[in-house]
Amino acid sequence: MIEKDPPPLTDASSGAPASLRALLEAGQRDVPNAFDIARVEAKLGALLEPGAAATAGAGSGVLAKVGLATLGGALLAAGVWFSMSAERPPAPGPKQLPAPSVEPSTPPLVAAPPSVEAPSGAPEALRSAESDPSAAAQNKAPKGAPASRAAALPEDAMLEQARRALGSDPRRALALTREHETTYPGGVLAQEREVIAIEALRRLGRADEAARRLERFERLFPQSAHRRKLERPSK
Amino acid sequence: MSADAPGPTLRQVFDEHAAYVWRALRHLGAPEGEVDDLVQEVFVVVHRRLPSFEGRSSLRTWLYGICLRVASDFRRRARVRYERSVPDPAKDLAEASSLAPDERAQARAQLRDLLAALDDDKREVLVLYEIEGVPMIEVAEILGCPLQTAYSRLHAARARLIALAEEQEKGRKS
Repeated sequence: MIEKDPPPLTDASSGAPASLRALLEAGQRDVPNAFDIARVEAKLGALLEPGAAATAGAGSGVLAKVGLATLGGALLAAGVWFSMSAERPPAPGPKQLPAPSVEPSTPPLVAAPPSVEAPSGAPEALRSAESDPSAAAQNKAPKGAPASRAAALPEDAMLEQARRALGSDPRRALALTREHETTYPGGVLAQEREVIAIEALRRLGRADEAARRLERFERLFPQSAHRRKLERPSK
Repeated sequence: MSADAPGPTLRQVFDEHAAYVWRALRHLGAPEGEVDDLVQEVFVVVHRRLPSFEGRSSLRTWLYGICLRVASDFRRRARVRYERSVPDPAKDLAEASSLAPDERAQARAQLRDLLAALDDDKREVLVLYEIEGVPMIEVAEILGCPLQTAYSRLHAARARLIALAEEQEKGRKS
């Protein structure tokens, strides 16, 4: 004879101790925050874009190729970053994915093109908020490499600090974005830095500067997913 | 899935189910620092297999099956790498209590520690039924075992969990 499903332990009639019921309820409510999801989204990178090949072909490096390059876009995708609480740990940089071994017979992924929406010179063009973008584009620093200070924070950690500071200390957030510009003149998170800087300027009441910086951002990153968020100043 | 209707894209699956996959993996024993990579691993598998998803089960059921295999594979790798000792829920609980200032985070940590004390097959059933709210008939389908076996595992898991919870309560009182 087939049993019936018993009342779940979260149900008082199950006889489970109240403490256990509370823990299970906490488990049911356990959802990742936007930052957790954004990190994974960044790691998946171009796989999530329409047209990413699903089968066959050589090239297991697709994730390594797209992971860091798309980290920034995902971090701030949908404008969720600003609304997040300040209690999260700094985001680790994307790791290279270990080869999934659940399906050893499945052919490896084909490399899909990274979906970086900014023109290749754009991050360099944003090297200085006050500078002429065309002049900044001549920067010769390797993309993503720290320009100075051997002990500098990783790029994403530095911006995470800036993001955290936004709510309580926008001046510090702005300073960190400047530090990011200096340390990572060719960094891949230029868009995200600009988003934070614009928001910090707004919070400091420097609306004109924020508007100018937004204008430049829109010029340099016309397809950016962050534009919608930036066009609606946060309250 | 009918041949006429195009299936969901990876982006759609991700947007709709990433949180579910993330939580499932956590409850299946993925350590805090590994969850991101394992969620990524799940969606890489989804990416490969989505074109052949036929819709015979619900997408969630299908996804959970992939989570199970990825989590199980991870545990196997972890065992090989670290030869980890059997977790001590009471000790872990004390550590979690001292480290987690936020009550909800603490509760989640306690739950993870309790779940870690269960055998893999029992934990899988319990997570599906008690946390994800999947009916037992689907649980059996996901796990590929007879329904009666799934019930047996559930009963054993519940008994163990209740015993552990009672033990902890006693420990707190004494």
